[in-house]
Amino acid sequence: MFFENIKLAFKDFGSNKLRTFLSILGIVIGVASIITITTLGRSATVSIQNQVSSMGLETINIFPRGNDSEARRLFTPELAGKLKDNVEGIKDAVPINQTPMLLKHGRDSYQANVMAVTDDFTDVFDYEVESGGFITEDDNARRKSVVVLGAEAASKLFPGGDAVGKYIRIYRKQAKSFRVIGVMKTRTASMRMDFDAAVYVPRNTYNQRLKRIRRVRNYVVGTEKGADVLVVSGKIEAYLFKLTGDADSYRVISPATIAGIYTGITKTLNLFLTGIAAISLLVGGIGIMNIMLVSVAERTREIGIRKALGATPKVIRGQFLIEAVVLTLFGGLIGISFGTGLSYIITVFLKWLFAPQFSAFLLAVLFSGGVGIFFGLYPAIQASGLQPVEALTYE
Amino acid sequence: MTASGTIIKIADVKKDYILGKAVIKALRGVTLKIQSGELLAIMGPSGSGKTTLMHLIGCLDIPTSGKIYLEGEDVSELNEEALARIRNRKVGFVFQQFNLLSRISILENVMTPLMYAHVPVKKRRESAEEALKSVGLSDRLTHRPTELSGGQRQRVAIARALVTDPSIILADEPTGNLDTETGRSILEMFNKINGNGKTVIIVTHDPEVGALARKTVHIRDGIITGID
Ligand SMILES: Nc1ncnc2c1ncn2[C@@H]1O[C@H](COP(=O)(O)OP(=O)(O)O)[C@@H](O)[C@H]1O
Ligand SMILES: [Mg+2]
Repeated sequence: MFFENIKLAFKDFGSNKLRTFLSILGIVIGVASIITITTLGRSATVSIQNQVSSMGLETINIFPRGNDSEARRLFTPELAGKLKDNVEGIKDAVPINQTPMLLKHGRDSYQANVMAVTDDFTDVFDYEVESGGFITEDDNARRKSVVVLGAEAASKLFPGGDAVGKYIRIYRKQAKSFRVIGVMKTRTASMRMDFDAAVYVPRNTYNQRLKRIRRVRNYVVGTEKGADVLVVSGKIEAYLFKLTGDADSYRVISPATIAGIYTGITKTLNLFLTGIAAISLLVGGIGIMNIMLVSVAERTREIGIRKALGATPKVIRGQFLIEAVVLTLFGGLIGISFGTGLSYIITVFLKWLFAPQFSAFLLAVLFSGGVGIFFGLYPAIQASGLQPVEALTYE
Repeated sequence: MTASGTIIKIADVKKDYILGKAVIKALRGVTLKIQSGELLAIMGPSGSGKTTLMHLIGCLDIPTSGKIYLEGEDVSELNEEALARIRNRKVGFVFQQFNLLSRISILENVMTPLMYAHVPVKKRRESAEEALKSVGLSDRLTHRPTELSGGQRQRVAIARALVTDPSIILADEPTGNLDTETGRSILEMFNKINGNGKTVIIVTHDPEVGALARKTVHIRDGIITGID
């Protein structure tokens, strides 16, 4: 009887295609919204995770804000030691200073950010040497005139390769000669640093030969293995607040907090789309109820005949309930395809990863079936309660 | 159940219809016994209560007062669920307006009562084909009722009434929408069905049916005025 009823439902919808389509429109929109919400939410999460993990989730960036703030005076080279001593979970606190300068090798010249670094720089950023080596503690202590080139700087200054061991000139008032001791592998820019387009010199050499370092531009903190980045950045904020008493005078940013912001945005978006989904499912459900009531009225005589042939009220109720559920499931399936298509287009447009969720499809199917049962029940009860004689003689 | 026992017993049955404030007394106290295997004609003018009586016998409705027994079972106060089961098993209905389901094939029409009796699909199909064969419509199984003539439709209705092998066949003016010739062949069919041992009750205006039946009940204004 179950299959007969399903077949019957399809027959009925087939003979009233436009009406059927209009009646399931609400369900289609509702389910499409659900699918779009979940697919986009999931795609956003996956994309952000992907992006964030390429930046290095374990680093925290600390900036001073404003020109004359307490914090700016606080960003001295000594802050690194203070941070390490006072905040748990910090492995390195790398001071960053950089200035754009002109570099030359023979006839090749290049404008690059010259960065003052210490030996722990590569460790914090997961930055790897392609050839030669990076700045050592000894280079820094003895203020050696050595330089390490970012991938792009190297290719611009040494188009023929083989930079290690050669000398370049860095122009700061006058040309200063530096020996190239290493070339870095390429690395995606992050934390406001364009690694490939920079060159790296020991901090002390930078301070003495290129530019006096009074204040540190910003610190990049590497956390200890297993430490929770969010917890550590919270502690850093608390410590800086203790030192400055002014929460506006510094900023503590980590990829994890950026991810947190994104999650916040998607949450808001979800809430909004969930609202749309809820409303359209409600409207859709009422549409289903309406069409089913029309169907019951139109088929009063059929109901009478079926009763005369021995259909119990339960059987009639089942028939109309199945019909409503078939209708909403059909709408649900169309909604799933629409929603999946729409979110695919959006992800392509936003250059996100497309991450559809099987569980969302299942949820959508359950939801639309549920709407069918809920809103189909009343018309079905109406149908089952018809008096056989009255239904039979209905014109 | 012996062929000569009482299969239907109607005891002082009254049926009122309430239309707004008016009460229509469709049956005013009908008492009647019908023997198993009988071919009974019910005759009377329009509005006399014939259809009402048929509906009550066929368990499509319950009386306002009085008792109805089918094969000894009191059916006058049963609920919808129980009435549906009796309609399905004990009674086969044939209506003046055929009352076929227009959206499905005639084979599916005839299979429907068996579906409500929870007969397995394969058996349903076999029995329905058999029943349609017995009314001479084997070559039309997949046709829709609308593709058939009046006489053919009524034969489908008869097949549908017979398919559950009920002991009682009720026909309410089965020839009312048919031409004389076709009507005669339909009546002949009922005669044959009766010959196979089923109790057949036919409501009619047609004196010819009266002639065919061994017993005719005359009804007027909701009261039996004579039996011959
Ligand atoms: N459902 C109903 N509601 C109200 N009155 C009805 C209904 N069915 C029948 N009647 C009335 O009951 C009386 C008997 O009707 P019916 O049994 O159909 O007579 P017949 O079949 O002999 O023409 C008529 O007066 C008719 O108008
Ligand atoms: Mg009548």
